[in-house]
Amino acid sequence: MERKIKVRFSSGGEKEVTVEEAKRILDETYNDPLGGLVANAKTEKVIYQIDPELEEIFVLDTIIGGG
Amino acid sequence: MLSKEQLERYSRQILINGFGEEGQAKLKRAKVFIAGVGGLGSVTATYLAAAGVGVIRIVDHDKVELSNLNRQILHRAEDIGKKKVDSAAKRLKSINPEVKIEAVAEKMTEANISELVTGFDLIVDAMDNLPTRYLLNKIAIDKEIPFFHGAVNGFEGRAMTIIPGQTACLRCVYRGAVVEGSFPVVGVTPGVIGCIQATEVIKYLLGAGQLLGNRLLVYDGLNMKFTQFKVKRDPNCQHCGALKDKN
Repeated sequence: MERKIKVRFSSGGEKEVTVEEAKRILDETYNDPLGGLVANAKTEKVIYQIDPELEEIFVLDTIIGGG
Repeated sequence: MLSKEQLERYSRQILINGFGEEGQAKLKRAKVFIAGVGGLGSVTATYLAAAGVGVIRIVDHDKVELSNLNRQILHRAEDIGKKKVDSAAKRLKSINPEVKIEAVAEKMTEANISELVTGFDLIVDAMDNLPTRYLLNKIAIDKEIPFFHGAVNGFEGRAMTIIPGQTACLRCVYRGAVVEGSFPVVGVTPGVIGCIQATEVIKYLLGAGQLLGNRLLVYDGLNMKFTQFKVKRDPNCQHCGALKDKN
């Protein structure tokens, strides 16, 4: 059976995706120029690649404001 | 040496264990640079002025608009159309006349940022866009000045403290492209994050507690949750990668 990774979003919602889909989400988040980040939900470390043992990621949506 | 009036004004914080008159004197000697007096800058400047920081330089080239007033608490309806640094300076002086407020109505650019921050002990990021944040991060790294990051969007906020050579910098964490944009925000969010930034600044000046270094604090106001995410220096970081590790 194909391995799945759980993805949670800071803006709400979650889903289970394939490793390839998780990689795509990670790339899209970092290509987002407004400050998106991805973290390993278990270790709470910000990550920049999908490691083989990863079970769940947390996507911090874009953030730019302050003024 | 603190005057009788200063001892009274700051008496409640002087009482804090580890603060004392010596801590108050450290704040009085401090020179703090605040980039922006919008939502975050209003809050950090207010609390740092009230706490007795000696010199606060506020830099912002914008004028007060009606849409600012849901969150930018240093400004009032009668200030609409005025320079933000002028209305901010007026309010800060009324909170604490002892603090020297330097109001600079200039846009921060690569050409002037070095001169603007020279002589300051630390930089507070109270900006509303990533390009200027990166500019501030870079100059903080180059001049090895501590940098106190904050950002908000809607009910969400983030804070992180950057000590050059010791902790991850903004560019270690945010690796995306650079664009500007507008954002939604409810006024209480910069209130929360601005207070966290001011707390970090006071702790740094006192040499007390544990700073938010290598930790990105994320505030989720809708679910009233604080989460800390671990971050680390990127050896290939385009801003701080070449800076020698001081740990």
